[in-house]
Amino acid sequence: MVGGHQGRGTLGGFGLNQNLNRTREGWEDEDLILSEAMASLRGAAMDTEPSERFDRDLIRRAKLNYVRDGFRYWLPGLAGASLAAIILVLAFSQIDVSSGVPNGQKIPAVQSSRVLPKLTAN
Amino acid sequence: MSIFNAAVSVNSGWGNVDPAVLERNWVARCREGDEVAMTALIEKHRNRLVRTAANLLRDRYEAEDIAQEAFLKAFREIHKLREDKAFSGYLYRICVRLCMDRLRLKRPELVEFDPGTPAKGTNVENKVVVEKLLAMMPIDLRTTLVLREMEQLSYEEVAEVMRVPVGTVRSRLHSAREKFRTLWLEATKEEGPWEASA
Repeated sequence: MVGGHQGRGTLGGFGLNQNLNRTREGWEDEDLILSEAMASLRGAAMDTEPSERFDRDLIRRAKLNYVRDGFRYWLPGLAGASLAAIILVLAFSQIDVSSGVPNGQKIPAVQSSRVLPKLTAN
Repeated sequence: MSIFNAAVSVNSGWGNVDPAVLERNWVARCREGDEVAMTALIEKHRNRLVRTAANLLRDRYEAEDIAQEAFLKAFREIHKLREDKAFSGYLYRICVRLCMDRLRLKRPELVEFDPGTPAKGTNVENKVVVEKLLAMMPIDLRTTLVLREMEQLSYEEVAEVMRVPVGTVRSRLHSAREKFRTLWLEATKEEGPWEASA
């Protein structure tokens, strides 16, 4: 758009002035185009307002997030406690089984049950 | 006064209390999970947030979604905020960041511009053309241009929102204007420029 180079080619006098004028016009054209472009950009600004449901939806999502975050926070603790509880229950049940023998009685040792052939004296 | 601390009249029932003080109070209460304070903060900032997101994304419904995301993220990370008075800027920054992320996620559109489109020069057509031209621009330049020209933020505010030096904002804005001017010229050369405010 800088169109100052189509003059008469002389460096002095009228030719130079004409070139400078054309250059200035070119710059002014560019400025004009830029200002028009910027005006069109500003004119295209969206003046949007949030919908009526915006607040309600947002509060609902925020509450849900709080619950979810709380759950995430407590989840490792809950998992650990559950595991500990299961282990305790299993341990108690084992103790219960082993303590099922009446007091004072000995558990009979395993006896050898080797079967020997009977020897008869003929 | 910074745009982030601009006084906004909110129906709070607190009479003539300074809005900045009021907001600090809401932020402190919000940190403890107070729903009333949360609602007050939403009421104060929602319009501006949705408008900015809409201008950046050029989609009203997506803008609402992003604005909600920004609020949720701000509420979730509100304990990280050192100064309660910085909430507005913090929230706005999150929103712009989310918009930029969303724009990056979108498939780059290969927009073939049809010079016949803007012939009549109505406001709706102007919006369509601007939307197409913005889609052709790199995200950083586009965001800088929208924040400065559409949202009328100062250089310092744009720098704060985008977390870049003011010098970078200036150079980006220069490149963005040049790029937009070139695109706009190409788009309108067949039909001639139309009235922007038609």
